[in-house]
Amino acid sequence: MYGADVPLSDLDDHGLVDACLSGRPEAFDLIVERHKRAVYQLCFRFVRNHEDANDLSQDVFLRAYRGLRAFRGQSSLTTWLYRIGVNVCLNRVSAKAPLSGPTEPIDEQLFVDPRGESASDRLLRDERGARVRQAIAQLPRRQRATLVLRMYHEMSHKEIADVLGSSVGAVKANFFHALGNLKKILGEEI
Amino acid sequence: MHLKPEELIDLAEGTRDEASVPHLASCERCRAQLAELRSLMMMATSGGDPVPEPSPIFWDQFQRRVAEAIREQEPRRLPGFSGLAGFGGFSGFGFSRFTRFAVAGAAAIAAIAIAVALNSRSNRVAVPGAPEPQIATVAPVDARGSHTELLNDALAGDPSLQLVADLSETLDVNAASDAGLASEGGAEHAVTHLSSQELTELQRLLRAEMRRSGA
Repeated sequence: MYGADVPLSDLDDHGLVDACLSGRPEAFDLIVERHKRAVYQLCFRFVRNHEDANDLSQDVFLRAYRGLRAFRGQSSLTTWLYRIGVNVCLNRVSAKAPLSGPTEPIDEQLFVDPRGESASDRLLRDERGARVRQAIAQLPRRQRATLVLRMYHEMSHKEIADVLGSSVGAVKANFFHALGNLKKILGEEI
Repeated sequence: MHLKPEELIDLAEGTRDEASVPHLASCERCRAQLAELRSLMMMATSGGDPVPEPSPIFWDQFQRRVAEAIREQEPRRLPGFSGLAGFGGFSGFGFSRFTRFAVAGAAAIAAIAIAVALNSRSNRVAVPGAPEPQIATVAPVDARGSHTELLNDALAGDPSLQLVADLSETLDVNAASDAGLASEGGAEHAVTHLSSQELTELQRLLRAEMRRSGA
């Protein structure tokens, strides 16, 4: 628990949730502040464009706010937000056609390769990366979520299991099959 | 018995030592599968999946939009919440106060627009043959005077002034503030935060200045 006189910035995530539920709604502002980037990145990885990622991220926080009482603190707030995020994203992407066109271009200046990679090598890597991302977008929903959370958000199998509401064994099996399907989709490109 | 997917994943990720799985040494199929898994993992990560970083302005706006959306959709959802009056940096910034600022700001801008328009007309170069422009008459406004009446009178004779008035009428003070056009300490901020008495005084000063300059 926390005292009402404790500065919100001193509270951890669970403390902020308690504070919010106890009548200090500005605590949710800090929750958004702390997690907005991770939530946005998750959403972007599912929809691959800024506008939709922005909309979905806002939706995630709205849903989190509405369901704040349902957060029991058994998992981390991050995991809980990811769970909401994955559900929101999967619902959105399944309502839309599979991604087949070019993905949003990446600002090269934001991602300078520290290894001094040549321009042609970087181009090749970017093209391959784009193909992989398109292939990931075609995976079955849970496999896709598993692969994204594991490979790009570096979550443990246990954390992914919490997000997806399944067992660690099921997550590993999903991951295995996701990689197998990725190979089938990419065919001889790899 | 071949290795299960979970076991292969553990081996591929290095969380399990190959030496602890004797089957691997004797099964070419499982070894090939393990090598393929490692290759696929490397391929998936080598290209990376970079997410372009939005601008700092986006993040500022993001937080505000979330707060506003919650305030609009869920005003009293959680017991103990005071209607989100203090949510997202909106503490003590109720709608009525916003409305007052908006009205005062719009009135002040209208007054300034009139003054600017009248001054600009006084400086016009006369074009031979052109019709004499009509000068709008600014009716005196007392401390309780109506800004709307003043504006309507002035608008009667000048389409360009109508444009300025339209712009000020549709001006979203909140949006202007969001865009940093009315930052605290700035002139715009001062204008949009004037009380009605201060507005009246501003009008009086503007009229005095127009008389002095012969407008």
